[in-house]
Amino acid sequence: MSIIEATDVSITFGLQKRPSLRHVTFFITKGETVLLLGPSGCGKSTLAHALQGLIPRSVEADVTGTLSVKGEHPATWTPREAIQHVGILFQDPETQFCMLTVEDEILFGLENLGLSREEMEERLERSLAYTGLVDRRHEALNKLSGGLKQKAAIACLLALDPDIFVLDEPTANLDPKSSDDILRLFADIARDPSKTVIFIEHQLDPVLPVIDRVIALSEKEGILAEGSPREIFTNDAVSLQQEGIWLPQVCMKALELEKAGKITWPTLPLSLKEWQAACEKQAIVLSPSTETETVPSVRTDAPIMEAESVCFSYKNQTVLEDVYFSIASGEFTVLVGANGAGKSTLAKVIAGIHSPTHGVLRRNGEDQQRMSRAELFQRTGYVFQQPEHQFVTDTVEEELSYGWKITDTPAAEWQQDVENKLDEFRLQEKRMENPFSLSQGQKRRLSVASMLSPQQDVLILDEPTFGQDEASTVALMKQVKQLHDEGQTIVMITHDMELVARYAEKVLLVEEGTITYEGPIAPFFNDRDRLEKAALKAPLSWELERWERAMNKKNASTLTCT
Amino acid sequence: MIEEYQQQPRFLQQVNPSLKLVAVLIMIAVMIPVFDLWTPLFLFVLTIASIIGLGGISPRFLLLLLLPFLLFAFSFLWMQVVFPDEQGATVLFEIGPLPVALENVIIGASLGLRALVFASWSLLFVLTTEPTKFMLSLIQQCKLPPRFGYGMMAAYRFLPAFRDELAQVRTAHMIRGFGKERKWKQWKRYFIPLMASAIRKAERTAVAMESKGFDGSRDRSYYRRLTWNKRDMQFLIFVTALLVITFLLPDLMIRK
Repeated sequence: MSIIEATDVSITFGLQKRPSLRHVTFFITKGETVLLLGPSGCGKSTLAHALQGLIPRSVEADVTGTLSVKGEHPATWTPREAIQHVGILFQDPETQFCMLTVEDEILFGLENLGLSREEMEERLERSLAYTGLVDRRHEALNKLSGGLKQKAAIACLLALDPDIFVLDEPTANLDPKSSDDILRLFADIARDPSKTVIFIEHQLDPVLPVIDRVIALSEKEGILAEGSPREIFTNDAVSLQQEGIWLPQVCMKALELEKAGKITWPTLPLSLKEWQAACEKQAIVLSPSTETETVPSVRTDAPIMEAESVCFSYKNQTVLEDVYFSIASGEFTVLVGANGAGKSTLAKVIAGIHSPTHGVLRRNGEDQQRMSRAELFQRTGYVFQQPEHQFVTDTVEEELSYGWKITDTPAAEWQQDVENKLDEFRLQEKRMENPFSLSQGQKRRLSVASMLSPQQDVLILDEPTFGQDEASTVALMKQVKQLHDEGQTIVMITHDMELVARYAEKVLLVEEGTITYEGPIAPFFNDRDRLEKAALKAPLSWELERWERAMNKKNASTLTCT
Repeated sequence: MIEEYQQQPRFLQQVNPSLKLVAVLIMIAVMIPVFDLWTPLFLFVLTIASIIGLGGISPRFLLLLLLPFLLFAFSFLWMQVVFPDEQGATVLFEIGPLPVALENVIIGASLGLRALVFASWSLLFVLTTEPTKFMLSLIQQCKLPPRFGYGMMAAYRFLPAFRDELAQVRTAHMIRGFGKERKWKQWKRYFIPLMASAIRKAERTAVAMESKGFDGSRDRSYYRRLTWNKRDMQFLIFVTALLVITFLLPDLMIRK
């Protein structure tokens, strides 16, 4: 029997002409674990809200078609009824709470249900134990890291004990280790036959092993494809990709290598484990000799930035201690490390926002502290985590000409540059619009474009992909890559090891206020102990490439044999 | 720091927050018609002593918090001495060409001390009251609708984030202005991004609260029930005693 039945459901917000969710029909059985896929803007989050009745109960919208959950219409539920049927875990951990401590937040939900004290006590303790938060029961929520906040949010949901869990990209803004933890928790819940779990995720690989069925929404309308993960990624890979839906990395790479004729898979691997088993059957093995194939290129350019014993304290607290590094001109460097290790502070010291309390920072051989702030800021671009923070004018065009105008440059000199930027960053149509009215991706692009100026030789980006969807991450990184190709020195803070593997030339690992690794990418990702210690993980693509090298090696050896 | 003080298991921390709030209001009301020097001075000294003794607040920390208020109080004294409504007759000494009269000093000091009494009682409340407990007490004892009570808590949570965000925006604007700080007229530029993010956060939080079954009605249970107990009775006696002492003692001293 279906627990959720959706027949031709469309949802339209306020004055919008095009529905946000378009003519969707699907059924979900009790106990199933479903992965909901779709290109951005296909209405996945809208659907999540509608399943609980939040749409149209508290967010006004026009819902057509029939949506029934456990044989009832979610729209008719009161908030108190709704939470006993469906619980939602949201993307942003900051805005899910209204109380100060972990315990109070869990109790808030239980009090809403009107439970007795004994019942509350029991549920509270059970959910704390399940999520491993027993020791943090009385801790303030705003002192927790993003990962722990999401765990606390899960504890709240578990205590409320709904039959259906809807997870709306809960790991989107987390570091690799925390997102693994969160997904593992839900894998356990998914195994319970009485619980139905609906994942909306963009990181597909870690969740796939627990997924029973995939439902892919189409960009146009309706359902694009439906079936078990293996079915759907074997049969519909091409149409999914055409719609802008991301395949799991393992599947994507597997299909790519098969197409290139490097290997034939008996069945499409869905996880690294399956991949490994299939490879071993065909006598493809990883060996140390496949590791050293890529020789890291060493930059010989003169250093553009050098730090010598740099320290920085803030309010009597040492944030940075004895930092040494040297960045070559034109290099793409990433700053990685756990939250609170001092990455952002280091970036601000490099940019000249903070001055080091000890030590010397040299820029092109010159002591940075002897340079004026104005000069330093003209030579350094700094892209902030939140694009909106750096908007200073009322239109996109003014935003791009702001730097020119305040330096009193005649308009003739910069008009062409503004036009070029509008084209390059695909903002030409939006030129007269207010920066705040742009979409998320457009805001991000504008914030990078507005930080570029011709005298500039270093561009610093502080987690530029935070809170961005896959498509705008790709668009942004393309732009950054292009700047780098043109010779710009890039320093980027990131948690995303995929980006590190794909774009960076050099890693600076920040741990407890100092740099513990400075060097190329390959040895960094190959040193598992160091990664483990820093709570980092080599990205999946890195692992897969090692296997690809192993395949190449084997193919080469079979060629020479025959 | 403040959170730790608010959670200490001391006497003042255990008094019902609503009662404490009423006491603060009473103190302010009672002090309004008082113009002598001794009453506010006694009350101020006794209040500080109770914050330290009954609330367990470190004297150094308290002094640090009182410092701006002390300056504020001194400004009252200064205003009375330099720009008196009526020049007093008993000239004590002269600062340059300015005669300083005893009468003016007394009025100024009385006004200043009154401000300090208000400040010290506000601090007594803030330093010994957990926000969550205060909110629960307002809902449970003062019949504040939960809709507002929990809404206030959610807003309170945003304050530190708001401060961090303002710092971020200022830095961002400084870089874009190549090191120039903004003029005060352009301050509205700081507030547009802050407002935009505040509205977005408020919307999301509201939806998240509702998704946890919150409907704003009084029909809910409470894990922590705040009731009247013997601490509250003792506090009532304490406040009455404080008032009696401060109002009778100066009289006795003057009669002597």
